[in-house]
Amino acid sequence: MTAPPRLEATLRAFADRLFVTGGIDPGDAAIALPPARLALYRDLLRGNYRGMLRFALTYSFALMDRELAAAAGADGLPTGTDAIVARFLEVSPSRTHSSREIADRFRAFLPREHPKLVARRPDLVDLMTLERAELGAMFATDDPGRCLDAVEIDALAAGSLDDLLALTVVRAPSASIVRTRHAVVGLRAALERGETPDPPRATAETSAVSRGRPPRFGIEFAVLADDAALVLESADPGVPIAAERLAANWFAALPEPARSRDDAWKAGAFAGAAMQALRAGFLRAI
Amino acid sequence: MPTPSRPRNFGLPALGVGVGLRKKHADRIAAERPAMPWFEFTPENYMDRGGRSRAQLMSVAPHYPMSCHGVGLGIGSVDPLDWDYLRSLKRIIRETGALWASDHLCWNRDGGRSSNDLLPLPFTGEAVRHTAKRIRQVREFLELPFLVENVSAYAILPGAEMDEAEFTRAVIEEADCGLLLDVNNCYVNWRNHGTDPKHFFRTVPAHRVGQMHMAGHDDRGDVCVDTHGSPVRDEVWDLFRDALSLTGPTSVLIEWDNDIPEWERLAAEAARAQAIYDDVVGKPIATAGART
Repeated sequence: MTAPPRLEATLRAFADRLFVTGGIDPGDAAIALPPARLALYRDLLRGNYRGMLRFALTYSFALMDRELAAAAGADGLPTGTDAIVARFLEVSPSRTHSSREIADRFRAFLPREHPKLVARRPDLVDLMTLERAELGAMFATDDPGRCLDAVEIDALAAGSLDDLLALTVVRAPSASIVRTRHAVVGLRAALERGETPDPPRATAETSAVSRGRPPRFGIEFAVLADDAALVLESADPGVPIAAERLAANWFAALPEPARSRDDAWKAGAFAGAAMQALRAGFLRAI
Repeated sequence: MPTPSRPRNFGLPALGVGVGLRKKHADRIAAERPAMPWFEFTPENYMDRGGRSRAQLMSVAPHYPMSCHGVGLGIGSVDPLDWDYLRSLKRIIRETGALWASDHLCWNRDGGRSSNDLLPLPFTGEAVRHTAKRIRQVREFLELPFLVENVSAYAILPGAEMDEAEFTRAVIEEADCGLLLDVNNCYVNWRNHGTDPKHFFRTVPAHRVGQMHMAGHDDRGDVCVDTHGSPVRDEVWDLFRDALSLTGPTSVLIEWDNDIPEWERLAAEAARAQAIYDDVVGKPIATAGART
């Protein structure tokens, strides 16, 4: 369907003035609007995006608030996140209402437009990556299988490895393994508690982000050793697999020197990772 | 006045006064099933999602009449209709058994930019034809009665060929859709542009009004902003009586989306609306209440 030309021109001009596209307001020559009312529309637009971004990237914004307040405008940094949101609207607004899309776009936008802020806090983008995984876990469509309840978990923990290997499990598609160049699970937790975060730690981190059982569907974060992460990655999301097969896949994928370790270590490492994943909802029972 | 040969309330059930289903109250509503004739949900909060939000919706939907009130369609935009969005919308409508669907007579995106806001359309014949054509497409795709809501505006775009009431009437008649009459928005536009709400009520065809919205706004003196974050103001309650006297029995919804109060306060606001409703039009024809 061809867009009606006058309407298209009117809406384009309004949008350009509203978003200040590319940082340039085309002014009344494009479309005449009362200045106070245009300012109100811009306030509403920025408020909408600010709300969505703070929802989607709660702790990344909390970290930016702290850093920008501490910098107090030094080194050309903005004095607050409002200016960052305004710039985001100028150059990279979202196509949809999706908080996941907005988070993705902002994560790509920030290092490009505010490299000094990212240089000051190099774990910021990794924190956004973790929060994006959190959003994914929160909103993904319902997973196959079911979370084991506490009684079932306790029984498995008290049982033998054979009991665990007899299960058929499925890796929840809502869950993800997140690899970052900085330690951010602890950073997120500190910000959630309202604590002053430690300085960035350039320590590579692998974490699992998963959705717990109903009715709360709480999001679980777990920092994983490489061996444990490999257990979880040995299952394809959404594809049921016998735990015994999962263990065999993991054994086959284990790199040296872990591959040469004794069977008792392998059994313990597998069971530990699998049980943690079952508790968190990363792995679900079929 | 309604045309006698045409069904009132756009042929929809007149459910009396309900409230919006919001996360804050969803668990309690599911557990206690309070007396409330119906609920309206915002599909964008649930579409293509699982987890807690979806579980909350699906724990309430089987027990009450529901309507689906979107905020993301942007029906007057010139960007192509988002068919992925519409397919998701149709799925959630079917899953919840919503009795009707609605969205706003506005635009919200251009050139791939989403404002996530309800922006005013120019009151032109070109916009009428464009918007009505798209409403027809949406209505036919959803296979459900479809209403559009008049929106609050803070500017009237240049080039208007008619007023808001005439524009609204033209769109809904050409689209053959219903109107979700937001009484607060009429008041807000009155304050912001001097457009008389009673002229609006009398210009739009009363038989096409399938639902009403009542909400609070922020009066900043030189401008009123539609916030949905406070009680309905007295001036809007007065207009509600006028509107009801023209439409007759319908379904009315209290919208309280920001600074959402405790359930008891929200229910009291709905009860106030219901008392006025009963006084003006009598008890609802099809009172539903919680299904057991």
